[in-house]
Amino acid sequence: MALTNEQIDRYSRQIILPNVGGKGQDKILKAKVLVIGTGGLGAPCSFYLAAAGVGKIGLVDSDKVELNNLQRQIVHTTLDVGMPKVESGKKRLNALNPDTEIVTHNLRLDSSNILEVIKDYDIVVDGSDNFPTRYLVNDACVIAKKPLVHAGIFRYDGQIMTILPGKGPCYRCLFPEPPPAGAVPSCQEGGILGAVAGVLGVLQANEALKFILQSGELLSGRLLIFNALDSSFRTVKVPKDKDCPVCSEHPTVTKLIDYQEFCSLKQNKDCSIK
Amino acid sequence: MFKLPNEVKESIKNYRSSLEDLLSGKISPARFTGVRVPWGLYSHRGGKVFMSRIRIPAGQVSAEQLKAIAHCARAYGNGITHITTRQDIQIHEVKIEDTIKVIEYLKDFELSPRGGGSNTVRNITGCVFSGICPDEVFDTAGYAIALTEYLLAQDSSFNLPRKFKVAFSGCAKDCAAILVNDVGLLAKIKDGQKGFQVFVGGGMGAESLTGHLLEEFISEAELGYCVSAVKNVYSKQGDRRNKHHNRLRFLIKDNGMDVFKKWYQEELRLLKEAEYINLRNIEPVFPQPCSGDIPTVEDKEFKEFIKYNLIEQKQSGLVIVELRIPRGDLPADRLEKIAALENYFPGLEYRASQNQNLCLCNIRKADTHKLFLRLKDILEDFIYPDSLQDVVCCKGALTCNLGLCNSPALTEELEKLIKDNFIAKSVLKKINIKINGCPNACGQHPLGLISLHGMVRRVGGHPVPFYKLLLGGRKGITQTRLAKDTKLMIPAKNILLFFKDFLDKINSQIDENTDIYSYFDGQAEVLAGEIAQRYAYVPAYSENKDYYIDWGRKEEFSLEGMGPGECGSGVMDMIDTDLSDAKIHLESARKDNYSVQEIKKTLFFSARALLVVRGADPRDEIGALNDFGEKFVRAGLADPKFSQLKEVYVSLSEGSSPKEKEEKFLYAQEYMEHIKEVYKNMDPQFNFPKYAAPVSQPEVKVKVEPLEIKSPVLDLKGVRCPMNYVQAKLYLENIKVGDTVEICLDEGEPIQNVPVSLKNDGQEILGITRTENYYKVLVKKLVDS
Repeated sequence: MALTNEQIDRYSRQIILPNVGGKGQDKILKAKVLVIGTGGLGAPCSFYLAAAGVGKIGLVDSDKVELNNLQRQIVHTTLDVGMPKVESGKKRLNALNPDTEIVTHNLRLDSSNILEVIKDYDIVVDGSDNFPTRYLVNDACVIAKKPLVHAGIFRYDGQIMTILPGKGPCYRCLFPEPPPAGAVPSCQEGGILGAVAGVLGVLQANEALKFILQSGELLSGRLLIFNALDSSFRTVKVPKDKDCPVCSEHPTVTKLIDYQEFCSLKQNKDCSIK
Repeated sequence: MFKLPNEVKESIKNYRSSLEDLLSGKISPARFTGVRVPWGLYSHRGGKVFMSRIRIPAGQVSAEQLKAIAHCARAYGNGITHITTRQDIQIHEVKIEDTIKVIEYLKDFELSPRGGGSNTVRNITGCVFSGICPDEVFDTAGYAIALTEYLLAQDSSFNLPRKFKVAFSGCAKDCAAILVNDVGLLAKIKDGQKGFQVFVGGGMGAESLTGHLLEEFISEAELGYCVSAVKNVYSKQGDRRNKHHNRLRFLIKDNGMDVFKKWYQEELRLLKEAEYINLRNIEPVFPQPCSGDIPTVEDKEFKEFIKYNLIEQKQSGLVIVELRIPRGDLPADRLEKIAALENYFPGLEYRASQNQNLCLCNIRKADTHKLFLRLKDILEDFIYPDSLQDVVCCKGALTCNLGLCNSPALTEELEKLIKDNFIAKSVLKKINIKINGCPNACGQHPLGLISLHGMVRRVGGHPVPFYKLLLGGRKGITQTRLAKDTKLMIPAKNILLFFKDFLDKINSQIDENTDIYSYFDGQAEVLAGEIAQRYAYVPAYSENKDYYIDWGRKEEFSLEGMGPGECGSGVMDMIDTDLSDAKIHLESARKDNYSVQEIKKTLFFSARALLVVRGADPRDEIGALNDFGEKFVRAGLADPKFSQLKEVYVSLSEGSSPKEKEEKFLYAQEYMEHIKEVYKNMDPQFNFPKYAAPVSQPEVKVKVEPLEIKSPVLDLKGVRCPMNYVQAKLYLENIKVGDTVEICLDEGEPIQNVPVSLKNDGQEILGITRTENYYKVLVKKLVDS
């Protein structure tokens, strides 16, 4: 597929890069990325993916834009309050880059629909903020052998790891089971600095782009931890757990589980997917 | 006892005035270095504080002197004293303004760092047990002291081509390792007359060598003449320009011993005509024998102490107590307490040993338990000197400007491993280990039965601390052998694993009666090879960063902090590693039917080897070949016939015919040899002589593509930066490797930037021609970028 002059111009600053060039740009334009959650992580992540020219971006979210989202969820604007997040996101990303096809999934992921949703994409970015979704996405990606970029944020901290099923460790190698309900405060209770969400969301985009370009070293087997207060990054080695409940040779989790929503503020829908 | 010559005491004022000039800004630190280093003052890593190396002739030091050194270490240094393998005692972390205070304070105790560094007569060493050793022919310490006094009084001793090391041994056991000194003197008696057998040209460091016999016998009266004559020949004939090749051993190696002897004889004749050299006559004073026995005490530790730390003196009833000082480091307060033992043990004398230990001499056997108890109050860990547990080690990269690896931290870990696993095993008394943080030999690794020297290797572009293993070194007049370079390189972080297996295995194969030297000359190397192979692997940086961090450090390994002059060693090390890798790949290519990959690697390592001194650190293979073309071929430093390295590299593929592969192999071989030749001619400032007249306007030279080839044209006139480059890059992506294109570019930014960018991508610029108001650039595609 030859690049149009407009595309060459639009993407020139990355075409120049070693390991990108016209062929790399072509890979980006053909890539399909699913971004779960159009919130604190999903917004900056999808923004950069669209800007880079990713051919197809799927947005998954069942919520509507609220005023308190705007402090960090930068694809939405004040005028969008009340609109489904996926629609608001689609509007903004289309405006940014018409090359990118935006597919909206205005639904809540569960064991019955997730495999269907992820099957059309090359890589999945998890921007959810709750444990049931996080474990569901991890398990589904391991079962469907979809690469997954996990990230989590809380207050001033963030973490990110890329999961390559069949190759590296998965999220359960790190945390085999979800914490008991109520043990971990939700982000609404804990609070979050918008810029922290931005840093992690953009790192997720970076991982997805490296995966698409097949260059650099993915954060597979490594958990990158960011602290905003001392502006530090550190990397922790994550070994593959030979007894991992889902990705080991003798898994105990063989079908998808809908963990009970245990967010202490579960009545508040804002708590489900950020 | 040694008397500091008046000339040295007098010259202190010169040092003082230079220091004042430095502090008032009249002279630069660089210039002051030339004053400071001959005063035995070395910059620590970072250049902010200094080490003062105090010479102790023959290692003989009094209690008073030890206290003076301890005082200076505490008042002006970091409170730690360090015993070196040349029997000096160092104090560390002295501020520049305090260096004069150290010199002046010590002068009153007949001590000085004068000549502790630079191109001078270094500390004259001797048998640590001179005068008390049962085996010695006669006591040589007085000669070492008198010779020091004589040589230090002469200005010429401080401006030699390079350092000059002299050592005395009292018998053929050769405790002072005289065969690895510039001048080695062995005590001999001929017709009832005392004298010496003389060896010259030994030395350790880059290219260690053992000495040659110069004189079968000289009488004691001739000692001053003989050493002075050697010194004068060296001073006159030595090559001051080539700092990497100017020790006496290289002078002799380059000219042959016969020529050297002629020079020496001539010099000796001149000296005898011109001078009357009469060294001070120092009569040895021997301690009085006494009676009494080692008390019987039911204490396991005391028994170990008796077994390992005590050495019988030639005077009956007296023993030497050798204290193991781990890594030679001794806090000043402990040194003071040891010095104070003099009050309790009359006749006590102190010696600093080549094993970085401290020896207490003339201890009555009956007093050993009393001494033992006092020592236990002062030191934590002093049993097992001169054993496997007593690992000799240099100061390493934390303090030394030349250091690559942090050898003391590794040594400390290794000592723990030995303590936990090998005490009371056969290997304990039979084996010694010496560790050096770099290929220089402050830790005397060429003399170790098992030795390591630090080095740097790059794995995936990241520097990794490594050690090279050497085996079988030993001293002794008839049996001195330099440790053999096994070529085995082990990542620093795997050294302990290696030693655990290696020592276990050796221990299972030897017993008390094994001739350890023949064992090491025989099977040890194969065994080491098998075990080293298990631990040679370095995981990728992303997989395990630990390998990229040296012992005792938190931050990643780097050569950062190596001083400007000193960084030469690190650089040399990197060059040698690349050349060695090139050679390994060439050999593999030869064995493996001219393997294309191996030939390419040979070209790459050869090309990269010298780039480091030209400030280039290419990321990949094509980059290295490009850089070599630019920095060596086009700069006129290398044979222009290697201007086509890249073509050779690129044209070589698995599909190449056997004949072509063979040709390319020979080309790679020739290239590697050429690089070695260029390297050989590198001067101390890392400059290279011109190979031929520089090639002018190399870009215009169309050498590969005949002119008649008509290239397609990509017209980028009027396209601004960086879009013109983007367009060119996209165009090149879609043509075949080896194809060419003529690109039209505007003058100004476009012609300045685009060809450079394409070259950085690994493409070749065959020529640039100017036409009216634009440029035609002929580009050949070499790589898919």
